[in-house]
Amino acid sequence: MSAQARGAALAPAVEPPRPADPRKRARLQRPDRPAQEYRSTIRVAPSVGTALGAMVGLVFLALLFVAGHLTLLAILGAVLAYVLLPIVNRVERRGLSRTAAAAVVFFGLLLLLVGVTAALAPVAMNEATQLRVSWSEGRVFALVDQAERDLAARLPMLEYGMLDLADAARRAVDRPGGQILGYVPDVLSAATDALIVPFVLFFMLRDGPSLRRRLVAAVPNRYFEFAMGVLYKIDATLGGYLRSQTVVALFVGTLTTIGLGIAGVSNYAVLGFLTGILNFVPYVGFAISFVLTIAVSVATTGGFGQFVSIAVVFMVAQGIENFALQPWITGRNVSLHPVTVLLAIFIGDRAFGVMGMVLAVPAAAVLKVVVAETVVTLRRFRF
Amino acid sequence: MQSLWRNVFGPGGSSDAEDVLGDVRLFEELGARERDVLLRVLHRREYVAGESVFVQGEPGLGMYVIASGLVSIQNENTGRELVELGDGDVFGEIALLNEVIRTATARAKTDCTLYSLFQPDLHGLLERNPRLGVKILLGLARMVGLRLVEVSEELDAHMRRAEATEAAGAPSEGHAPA
Repeated sequence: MSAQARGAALAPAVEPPRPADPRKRARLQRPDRPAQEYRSTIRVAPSVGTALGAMVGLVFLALLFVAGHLTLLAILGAVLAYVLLPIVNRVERRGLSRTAAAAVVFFGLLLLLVGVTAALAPVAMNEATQLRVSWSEGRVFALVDQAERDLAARLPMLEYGMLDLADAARRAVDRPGGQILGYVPDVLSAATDALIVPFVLFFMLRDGPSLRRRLVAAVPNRYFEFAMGVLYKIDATLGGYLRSQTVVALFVGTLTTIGLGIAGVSNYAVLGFLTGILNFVPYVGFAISFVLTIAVSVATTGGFGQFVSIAVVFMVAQGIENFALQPWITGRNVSLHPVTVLLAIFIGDRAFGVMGMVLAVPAAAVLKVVVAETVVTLRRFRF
Repeated sequence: MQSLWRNVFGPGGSSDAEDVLGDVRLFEELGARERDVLLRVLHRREYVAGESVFVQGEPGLGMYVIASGLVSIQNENTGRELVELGDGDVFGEIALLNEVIRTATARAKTDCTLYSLFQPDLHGLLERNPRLGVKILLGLARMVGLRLVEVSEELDAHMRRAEATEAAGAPSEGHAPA
């Protein structure tokens, strides 16, 4: 009988049976080695932990304020890595080293992105340019104006000029907060900053598992098992949430792109892409992308002729999402109260604009999971 | 890059080349490279004499390997030592296989260096490197099986002794472990 085999986290809850063989007993209790006087148990005061947590929080906030969009991009890279980690694991299982596996997935994603961009960019650029040209020539407002005439002719209770759509559109665009087109140059200038995303992504893919290990290395012994438990639960819940949301967004984006393409809506690729991204934002995202699509349709065709087909496309995509996809991922999902969702969206919008809005809900989910799992696990420990 | 990453995120990492798992019976079937891979998912922890590794009644999801030092497994309520473990010994492996409440307290008797393996890390290893994962599982299964044999033998001995006392007419002392 080896001491190892005897090793005993499952040391019996009752008193251990007294071994029949006296030699065995000697081995168990090792009377030749006098029991040592224990030094007083070293414990780190909880206030130190709280102070550390507060410091980390402060540093994070400071980073957000000093280099807000950069931090946001780094978070985006980390989220992306989170989604892709299982694929890296699967590649690694084929016998590749971690670095090689991370590189394969990283360049695979890059290739996919380049491919999709190359396939869709000419169409998208062409249509976007057309929209911009007609914009600068004032044709868009003429088309919107015409759409209102069209609407007035069809609906008896509406008279032309009552809605003054063209003027409303002009005002909406001129308002500083509502400049959707204003984001485009912003995005282009941020492209260099965006280099941080692939950088963070690659190293997170490669070092993800060991990074977590180094994080807990700093935790004091007394809280080590607690920290591990919390971390793993957060990891599992968050991974499930982010991955399933990404799959859903990908699905909705693709389906909407195809549907809008068939319906003949111009800028369908851009609109489908935006719908996919905005799908991360519950309730509001769907409404925004739907209204945006209608607006683009009206602004390019000068009528509500595509309204029905657009509505059908969105209804089908959302229907499949709600009735087929969401139930399938429900168990792994993080449920947020609608009020929480709306608050998060508003705060994200205030702080970081459109991108903040998109990341607000996942961020709120992260916070919720972190707090909830910490509280639940804390209750099971006796600190 | 590697060094920068390491400097930023941790002290030294697992690069100390010494083969700390070489003496551990549980891992005796692993090659040197496999032990190195395993070492990279283990958490190295230092404990001061008297410090508890885990406490009875708390949830556990990991196993510990003693690299150096002595660890006492004891009953939290009575303070009685159940077993003392030394270099190369392993404890807490039931929690590794199945998330359970710790049934005893593990306390460092001397200053110790322990390596811990946690359930999710084992799952991750199984996913990324199934060959290695299976070897570790096999070692664990053997260890648990061996202990079952021992416990059965002891139980048997107890039963026989109880029967003998009963036959001798003395009232049964009566706590054969269930």
